[in-house]
Amino acid sequence: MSKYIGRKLLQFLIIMVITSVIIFIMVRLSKTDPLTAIVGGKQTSAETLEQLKIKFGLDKTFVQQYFSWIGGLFRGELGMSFKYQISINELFADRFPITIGLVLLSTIIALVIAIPSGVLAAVKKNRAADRIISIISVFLAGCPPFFMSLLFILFIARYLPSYQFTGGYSNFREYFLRILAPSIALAFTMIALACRITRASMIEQLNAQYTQTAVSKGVTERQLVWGHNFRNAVIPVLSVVSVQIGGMIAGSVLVENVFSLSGLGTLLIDSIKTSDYVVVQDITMLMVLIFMVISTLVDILYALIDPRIRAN
Amino acid sequence: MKKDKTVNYGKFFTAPVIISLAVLIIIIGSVIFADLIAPYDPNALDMKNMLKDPSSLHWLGTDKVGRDIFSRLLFGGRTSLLSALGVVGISVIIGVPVGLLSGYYGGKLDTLLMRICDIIVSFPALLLAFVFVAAFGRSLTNAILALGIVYIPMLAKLTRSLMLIEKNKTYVEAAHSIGYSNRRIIFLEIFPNCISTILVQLTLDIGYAVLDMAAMSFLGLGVQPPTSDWGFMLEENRAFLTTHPLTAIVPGLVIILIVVALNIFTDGVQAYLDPSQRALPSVTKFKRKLGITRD
Repeated sequence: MSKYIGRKLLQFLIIMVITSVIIFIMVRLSKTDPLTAIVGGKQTSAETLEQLKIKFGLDKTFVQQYFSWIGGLFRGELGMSFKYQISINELFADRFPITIGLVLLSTIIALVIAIPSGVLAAVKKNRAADRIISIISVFLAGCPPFFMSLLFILFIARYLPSYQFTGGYSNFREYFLRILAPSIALAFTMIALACRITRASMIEQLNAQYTQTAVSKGVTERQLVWGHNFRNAVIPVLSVVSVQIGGMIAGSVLVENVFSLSGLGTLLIDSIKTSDYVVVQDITMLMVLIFMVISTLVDILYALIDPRIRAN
Repeated sequence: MKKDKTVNYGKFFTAPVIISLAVLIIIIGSVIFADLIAPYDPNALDMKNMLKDPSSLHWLGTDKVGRDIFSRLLFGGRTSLLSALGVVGISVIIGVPVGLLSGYYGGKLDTLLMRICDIIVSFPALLLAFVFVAAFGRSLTNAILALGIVYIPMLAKLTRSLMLIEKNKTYVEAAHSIGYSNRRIIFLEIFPNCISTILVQLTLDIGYAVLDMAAMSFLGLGVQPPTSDWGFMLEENRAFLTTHPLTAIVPGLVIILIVVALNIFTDGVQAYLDPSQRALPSVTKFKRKLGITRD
C-alpha cells in the first residue's frame, strides 16, 4: 500500500512540475509586453520604466523569473499584480473562499441529489421512476452552466427580488447566500453525469450473483441495496466525480462571471484580458493544484476500498 | 453506459432516434441555408427598432441595436457548428493516430504519448483553453485550436483502448504472417474495425464542443465581434435578461436542444451497434407469424 501511495505522490509531483513550466511558458508567450500591462497606457519616462522593470523582476532572465515565481509559491508569496500593483495574496484573500466554496457546495449538492436518484433509477429499472430520471438527466447533461445561471438570475429577479446575490460578504450567512444560487446552477452537469454512472454501475451490481445469494439469505432490501450493492458500485461513481470536479473548477469561472461574484474565476478572465500575467499564472496553478490533489486523493482512496487496484 | 432505456429489438429508427434526428436535421439544415431563410442581414443595425418584442416582422424580436435575433441565430449557428466541427476535427487528426500508434507499438512510445495526455488532462477541463487563449491572443481560431488540444487525450485514450483489444485478434496475426507492413496493418486492417466506436464518440464530442465553444465565446475568449455565435449572443443579450428575457434565452435553448438531440441520437446508435443490449423478439408474435398455434 505504501509503495502504491509513494508512486502516486511521485506522479503528482512530476505532473505539477511540468504543468508549472507549461503555464509559465504559455503565459509569457503572450505578445503583450508585461511593461505595457503594468504602465497601462500612461505616459512614463524611461527611468520609471527601468524602475518598474526591477520592481517586478522583469530585468531577470526567463529562467530566473520562473524560479523566483516557484520559490515564492513555496513560501506562500504569490507575487505582485501588474494591474492592481498590490500583492496577489491580498487579491486572493476574499476571492479564494468564494471559488472553493462554490466547487465544494455544488459537489455536495450534486452528490446528494445524484446518488439517491441514480440508485432509485437502477432499482426501478425500466419503470416510470427510471424513465423520468433518465430523461431529466439527459436534458441536464446538455445544459451549459452559464445558461443555467442566467435562468437562475431571471428567476430570482422575478420571484425572489429580496435575494441579494452580488456584492461582498461580511459574515458566514452572507457568504453562504452568495454562493448558494451559483452552486445550484453549477451542480446540474455533475448531477446528470453522476446519476447516469450511478445507475449503470448499480444495475451491474444488482445483476451480480452475490445479490441473488444475499436475497436467498433473506437480507432486507435496504441492507442489500445500500450495504452490499452500493458499496461495490461506488468506485466508478467516484472516478467520474473526481474528473468532473475539474469541470466544476472551470465551470466556476463561468458561473462567477454570470453572477458577478468576485471569485478567482472573474479575476482570471479579467487578468487574461488585461495581460496580468502573474495573476493568470497563480490562478491557473492553484486550480491545477486543487484538481490534482483531489484526483490523487481519489486514486489513493480507490486502492483503500479495492485491494485489486493496489496489485496493478 | 445507458442500458435498457427502451426495449430494443434491434431496430435503428426508434422514436427517440427519429425525434432527435429530426431536430438535428432542422437545426443543421436551417443553419446551412441561413442565406435563404434569414429575413434580415444579421449585422444590419436598425436603431428605430431596438429591443422589439417578437412580431410578424421580427419573429424572435430584435436586440439592443435593432438586429433581428432570428437572423443572428441562423448565422451565429454557422459559426457555432463550424467551430465545433473544427474542434472535433483537430482532435481526430491528432488523437486517432496517437491512440493507434500508442496502442499498437506499446513500450516507450506508448508511455511518452500517454504521459503527454496525462499532462493535458491534469488541467481542469476548459482551463487549459483559457491559458492557451491568454498566450496566443483572443480569436476564434485560437479558441478552436485550444479546445481541439483539450479534446485530444479523450479520443487518443479511446482509440488506444480499442487498438489494445483489436491487436490481439486472429486477423491481425494473419496479416502479420502474410507479411503486411505495420503501417498497413494499423491503418488498413485494424483502424476500419475501430471506426464505428470512434464515430459514436465523435457525435457526442460535437455536442460538447458546441457547449465549450459557447462557453469560450461567452467569456469573450472565442469569437470577436462583428462575428457572432450562440455563446456570444448570450453574452451580448444578458444585460437585457430581466427586461427582454427572450433575447438571451433563445440562443441558450438552441444550444441545449442540439446537445440533447446529439446525446439521444448517439444513445440510439450505441444501442443499435451493440447487439448484446437487444431484447429478444417476442416468441408469441414469432409463432403467430409462422402459423404455429400450439406449443
